[in-house]
Amino acid sequence: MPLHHASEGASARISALYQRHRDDVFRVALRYASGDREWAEDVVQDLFVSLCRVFARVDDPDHLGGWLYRTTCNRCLSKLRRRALENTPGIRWLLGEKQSTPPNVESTVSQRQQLGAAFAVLDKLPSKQRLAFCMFHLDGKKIHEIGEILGHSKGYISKLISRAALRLRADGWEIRDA
Amino acid sequence: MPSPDKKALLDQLRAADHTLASEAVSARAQREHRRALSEALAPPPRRGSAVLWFGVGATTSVLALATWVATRNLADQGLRDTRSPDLTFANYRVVGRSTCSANVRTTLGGAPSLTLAGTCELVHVVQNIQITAYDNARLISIGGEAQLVEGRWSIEVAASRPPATAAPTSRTGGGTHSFAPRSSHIALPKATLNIGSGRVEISLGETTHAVTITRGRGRLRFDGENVHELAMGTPMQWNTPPVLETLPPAQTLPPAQTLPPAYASPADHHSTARPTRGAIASAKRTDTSAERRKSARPHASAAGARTRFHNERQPRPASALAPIIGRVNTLRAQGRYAAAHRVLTEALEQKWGLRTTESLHFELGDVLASLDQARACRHWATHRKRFPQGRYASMARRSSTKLNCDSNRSNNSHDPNNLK
Repeated sequence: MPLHHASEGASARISALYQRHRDDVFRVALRYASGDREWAEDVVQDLFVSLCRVFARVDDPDHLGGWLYRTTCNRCLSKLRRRALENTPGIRWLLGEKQSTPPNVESTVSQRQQLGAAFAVLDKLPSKQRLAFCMFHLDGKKIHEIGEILGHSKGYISKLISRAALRLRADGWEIRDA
Repeated sequence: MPSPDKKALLDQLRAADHTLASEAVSARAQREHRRALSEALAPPPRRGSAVLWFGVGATTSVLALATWVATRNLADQGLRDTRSPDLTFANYRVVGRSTCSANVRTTLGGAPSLTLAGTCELVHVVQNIQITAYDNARLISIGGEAQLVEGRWSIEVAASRPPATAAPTSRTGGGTHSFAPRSSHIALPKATLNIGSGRVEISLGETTHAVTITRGRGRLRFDGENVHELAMGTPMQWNTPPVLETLPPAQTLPPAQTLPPAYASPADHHSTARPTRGAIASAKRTDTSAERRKSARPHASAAGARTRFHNERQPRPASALAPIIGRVNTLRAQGRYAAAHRVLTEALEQKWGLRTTESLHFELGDVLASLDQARACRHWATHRKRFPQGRYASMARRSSTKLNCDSNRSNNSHDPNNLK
């Protein structure tokens, strides 16, 4: 539904949803952003703007937790992929950048909170493996739930998680089987 | 074997997540987010809106242009749409449109025509004349003045009080006529009705017209000369040829000067406009009406004489020409020139007025030009001999030149198929 069709009541409800869920979305995004606040805040903004577009089709606006989590994960996945693409040598050469711009030090939570080591580990994983691994081990999602969110089969999600664990183990980390 | 600092990655990640749990969107980001949401919820300029507005603008422009053109045409024809339920035609205004249907058209001769259906009330824009038209009636505008052409009419003329500064009422003929200086006049076919005040019933048929005065006094003036006083309750009748294609005054042939209206010949009043493209071209010609009169008057007088002494063989009315020309136009549009030629040939075998015959003859030549070049050349030669000063002489000459007839004339002069 077009945005301008949103009624005044819908605007108020979207505003209330933003007030209620913005920090939850922000924290999930912050994990995948390796602590980059601006990156995570962009995800929050994109997500709620998207909500404006689809709000008329939402069956139960008061129970948007699932939609918000799913959409946040997919937004993060897209953003991670885009960032990974931008960091490839060919693109950087085309853009005339010698290296990707590092995140703002002041805005990086990881550096301020000494969390860099843990997020640096996740940065080594491919985007989809990273999401599947975190969703499974940190958020406690089931394989089929992750498959529904990312749009893949359970077998493929299991494979993604196994590959992520193998990679981390190969890097010297201890990963206990769930 | 993992090193001690690399043990329990998941525990470290959970600890990091726990640390992040205290993080919140900054106030600056919140302001940005709210602004973005407001923009998203506000009606954005969409391409569809632009297309819609472009369509609305274009439609408005077209309507404005069409209105301007229509208004200009009405003004050119002496018509004025007052943008009220009333319609103004020439010097009359049609009122009481609830029981009346009024359609303005342009006759083939170029004069505006107003066709009325139902019961229509008309009032004169200046004089105190009220006219009621019943059923199907028609009037035309000649020089900005309306002339009743056909239908049944009831005319009520209220007594007009002359202004204080006006000259005193004049009476002529020792009281025989007692018209006020401002006696109203109503144009009728071949006649003008003058009435000071009173009520007149008028019936205008195809050829027969009648005027009956039921109150007051009035008179009919035929051709500006013969004046007939109307007797109360006694119909005054006169005949005219049917008016099919009304012409502006400058193009109307004068009536037979020596004949009273009742004996006027159809040839005197026949239309001069041709209902096909020839008419359009004819209208653009530089021929003067005087030239046409000069060529047509002898024929008109002769026709009038024939009519007077041979009433048993009246020419067909010009109104009968319309379906024939319509049929010919249809056939020509379909490319069936032979059939059109046959229709015109059969039509020419009938008795018509001189001008109608000239029109048919020209039409036949025009069809032949598309059918058979040699026969068309012979036909044009005949046409130019038969109507040397006719309305279509110049067009016949141009068509002959176009067909290169002069070089072929000698070869075809003895063709037995030469058409009249």
